[in-house]
Amino acid sequence: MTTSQKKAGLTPEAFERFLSSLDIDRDRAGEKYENLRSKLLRFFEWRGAVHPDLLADETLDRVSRKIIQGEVIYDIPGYVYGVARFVLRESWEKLQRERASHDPLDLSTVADHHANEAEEIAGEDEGERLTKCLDHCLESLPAESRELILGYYQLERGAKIQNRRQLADHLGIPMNALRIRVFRIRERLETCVRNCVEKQGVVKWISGKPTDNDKEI
Amino acid sequence: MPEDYTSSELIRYLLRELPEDQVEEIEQRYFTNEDSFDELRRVEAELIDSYVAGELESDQKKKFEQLYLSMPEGKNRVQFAQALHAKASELPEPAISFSGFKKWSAVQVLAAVLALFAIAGAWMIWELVHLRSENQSAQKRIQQLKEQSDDLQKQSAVKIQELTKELDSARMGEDIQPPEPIHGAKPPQPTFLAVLMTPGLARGSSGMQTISLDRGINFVRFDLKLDRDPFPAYRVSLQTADGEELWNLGMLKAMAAGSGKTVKFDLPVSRLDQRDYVLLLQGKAAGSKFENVSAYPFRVKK
Repeated sequence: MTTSQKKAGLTPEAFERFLSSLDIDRDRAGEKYENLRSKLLRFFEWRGAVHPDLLADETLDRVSRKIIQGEVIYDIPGYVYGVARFVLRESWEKLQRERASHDPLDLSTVADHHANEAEEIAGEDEGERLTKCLDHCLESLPAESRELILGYYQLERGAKIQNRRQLADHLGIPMNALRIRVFRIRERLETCVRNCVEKQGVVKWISGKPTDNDKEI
Repeated sequence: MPEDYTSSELIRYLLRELPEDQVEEIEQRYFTNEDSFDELRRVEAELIDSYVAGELESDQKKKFEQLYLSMPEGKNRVQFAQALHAKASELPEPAISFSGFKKWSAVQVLAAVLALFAIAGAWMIWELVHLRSENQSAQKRIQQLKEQSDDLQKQSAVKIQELTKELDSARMGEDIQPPEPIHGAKPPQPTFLAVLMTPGLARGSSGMQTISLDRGINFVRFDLKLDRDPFPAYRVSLQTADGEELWNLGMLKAMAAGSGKTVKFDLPVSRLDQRDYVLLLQGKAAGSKFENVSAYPFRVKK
């Protein structure tokens, strides 16, 4: 478990209490914590939040504070989701207030704002470095996994479907099982590429940086 | 994901096209269920792949770009998918060929063809060796049968020759003409030496008729002259001087010859050596046994 994910504003005692509420075993508790954070990140992304990572941490902090205050939570994932919805609503309201007071932008232009920000972050050689990281990460995969994922994405349209059927036949598994297997390899590969690019400081995978206003959420 | 949410519904969730109540239901589920969360992420990855592959409909494509390309995280996911697809498409042939010759490399096809030829060749060699072995066995058997056939033919020819000679002797004794030879081929004509034997030369007599047998004589045609003819059937017995019977011939009849009668028969020369013999003539009346009639001693010189 990477305790670095813990927000600085959360006391160690509160964080430990939160982990203990997830599982008696500390390792399993850490995995559950990371899993919850991953869901929160996706939740805020899919909902179009400006800073999913900050909102995810804010959600976990609030749940931790509730626990240390003595509130008994029987369904922590469901409770986390409820808090996340509340945090999301607050972020939208805050963003509306900011736009109303500083410029005439409305919600429909938020996406453009982030697109411009991303393009500023990315350098001209972003594509090249991404390709190098992809090559590096593909090489780090087991040969069987590397051949499988490249074979899976190799062809297009009709030929792609036929090729995937042949892959599934060769492995002796249904198409859906192949789909799941390839997705797991893809996630591992994408994580590797993300870490590789982050080390080079070229592509920013986490959207945006925390601002003073975000910390106040 | 729950059974009641299809991939297309999840795509609508990702593109924010679902009503709020369904959105909350989906979110509630994937927060509390790992499989639902995994499925939603898989659907998202496939949505991104479809965009990268240019397979999205116009409306979906527009909505996708509005949501994903405007957000750093979404844009990074798209860039990763583009790089992955580009990498996969760099391969000239499918990375893994699992079925069908069309996806085999030239080396693999060549190896497969060579392997097939090797197997077929080995099988043909085995068959050839097997057939040769059978052929040799068959030829040996044919040779054995041929040798057996030759032996039988030789034995048959010898037997036929002996039977023919004996039959001729019998026919001559009975004055029967030999049948026409088979296939029209005339057998070699036998050479006869006619010898008239007069009775009265009894055994022990010093007077002994000498028969000289030159080469080329096959039979000695004896005419045994009779003093009387009381018997309807006669029999001759060739005996040594000691009385040992060497040959005999029965069913003979006396035939008129001049003023008297004779008993005629042919004796194969092969039965005679250079020595003294006695021809004993015996007669047989009806219902009785043979009795001696006359003795005809003679000496053979070759």
